Amino acid sequence: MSVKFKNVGHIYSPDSPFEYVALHDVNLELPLHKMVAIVGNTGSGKSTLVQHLNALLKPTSGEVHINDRIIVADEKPRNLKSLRKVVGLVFQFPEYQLFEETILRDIAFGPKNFGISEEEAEARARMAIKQVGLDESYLMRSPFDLSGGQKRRVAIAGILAMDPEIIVLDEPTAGLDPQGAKQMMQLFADLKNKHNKTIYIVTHDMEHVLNYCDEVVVMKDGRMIHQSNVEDFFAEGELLNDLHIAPPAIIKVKQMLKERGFKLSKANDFDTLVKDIVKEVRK
Amino acid sequence: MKNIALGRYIPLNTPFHRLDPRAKIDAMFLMLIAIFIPAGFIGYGIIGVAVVACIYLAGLKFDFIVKAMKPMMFMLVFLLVVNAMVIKDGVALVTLGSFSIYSGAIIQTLYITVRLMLMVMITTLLTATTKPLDLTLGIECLLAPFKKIGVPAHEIAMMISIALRFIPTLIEETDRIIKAQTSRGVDLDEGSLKEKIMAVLSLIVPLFVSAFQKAEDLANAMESRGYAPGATRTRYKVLKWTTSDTLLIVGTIVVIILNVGVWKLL
Repeated sequence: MSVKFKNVGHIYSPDSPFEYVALHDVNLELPLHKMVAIVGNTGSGKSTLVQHLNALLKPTSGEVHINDRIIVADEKPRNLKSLRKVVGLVFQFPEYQLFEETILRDIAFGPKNFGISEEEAEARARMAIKQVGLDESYLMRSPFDLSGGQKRRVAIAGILAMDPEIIVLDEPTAGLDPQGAKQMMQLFADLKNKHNKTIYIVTHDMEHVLNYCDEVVVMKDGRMIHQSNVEDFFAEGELLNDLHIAPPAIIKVKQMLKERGFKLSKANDFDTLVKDIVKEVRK
Repeated sequence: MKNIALGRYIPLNTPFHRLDPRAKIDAMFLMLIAIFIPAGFIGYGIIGVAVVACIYLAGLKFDFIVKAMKPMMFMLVFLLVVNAMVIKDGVALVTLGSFSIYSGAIIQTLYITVRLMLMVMITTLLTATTKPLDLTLGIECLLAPFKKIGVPAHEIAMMISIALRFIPTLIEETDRIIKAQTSRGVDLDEGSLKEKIMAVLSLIVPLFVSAFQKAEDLANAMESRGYAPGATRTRYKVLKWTTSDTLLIVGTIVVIILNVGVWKLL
């Protein structure tokens, strides 16, 4: 069981004036039951990459392995529904996918498409709405009466109700207020920790990467240029500079302290940092 | 969805692209008139040669034009069926029991097919080589004389340019919604009728919601930048009529004369 990209390339509109190479020869293995951040600048191929995970896009060269499924270029894959049940993909601004009369029916729409009974789908909807931090009274309301942030939650609940093993999120917190974004990230962390899900998340927020993610994959110009755990990623000063990524405040502070000869432990939270500083100063 | 060719601008720098949009619009109308001159297949041959020459000049690929014609395939099949049932001229080609298909039906369908193909080629030639904004500017200039009798030339031009501008955006949006719903297990190709209706609904509702949202945003953006429909404005881009534009018009008039000639003499 694993997620692997083997020499994957993707070209949009091949052989036309609009031809655009979005992925070049990507080789990548993503771990399961971890939260992996996919970072990179706009146009670096992140969204194209994640759309290969549930075969919305097929590689134009190479292979994508997802568990025991192999998606190969030039071959029409069959029964993609079973793959899409395992890999749930939440698009950027998913609120645009809402369409049903009530929130209950909208959340239950996904599970029902995958052959789950009406009652079971509604039970899942009840659970999913609570998971995203809204209460059950919302279920009978129209999804179009909600605020932007609430719509986002309902849309994400629609994917959670499908109960996928792998959840892929394309900038799920874009446009949310900091508090809402934090709750959202906490939800994904819980899904990983308590429900043993695999989370792949495209994000620009380095605080989120530091606080919630286990691994980082860096994309640049359609190539995968770096993969490591979060700590090693933030230690790569040159790479961060090259990507114009400002590291989170705590990383910067620790670097400055280290330059001044402080001995600090590895953990990246303010509690430990303050304790370390106090210890060093008292010496 | 991204491969829709009809009405798409192809950014190239050919002599045909550089023509004045007014000349191209005029030429398109003249050519459409030429198509309706009943000069038979010979007349269409003349128009066809002229159009293919223009397509070559404009650097457009043949398969792009074929793609642009795809949407009318269904209509042509429908036409063939209707013609086959109605027209009883010529020789019976195929006989199935008491029903036979006559050569007249085939010829008539072919005739209309050629006519439609030429029309699509001509309009594609215009939209593929003219930037949407230039196109609107051309339309506005051509409509300007009718302002005196109360035709809102500027408003019409603005509406057309907005509509053209939003075609790719809406296609992109549709593409995105299809992907999002596909991820939720919607299968657009298979399933029962009820499931298919549900699938289409799951695309149309979000598309409408986002289209209205975009319209509102656009209206606000235009208003906040002081857009007033009737206001007198100067233009950043001024259209310039050159010799090659005159040549284009002369060329199309020659095609019309040839067609009239074929019609009257043969």
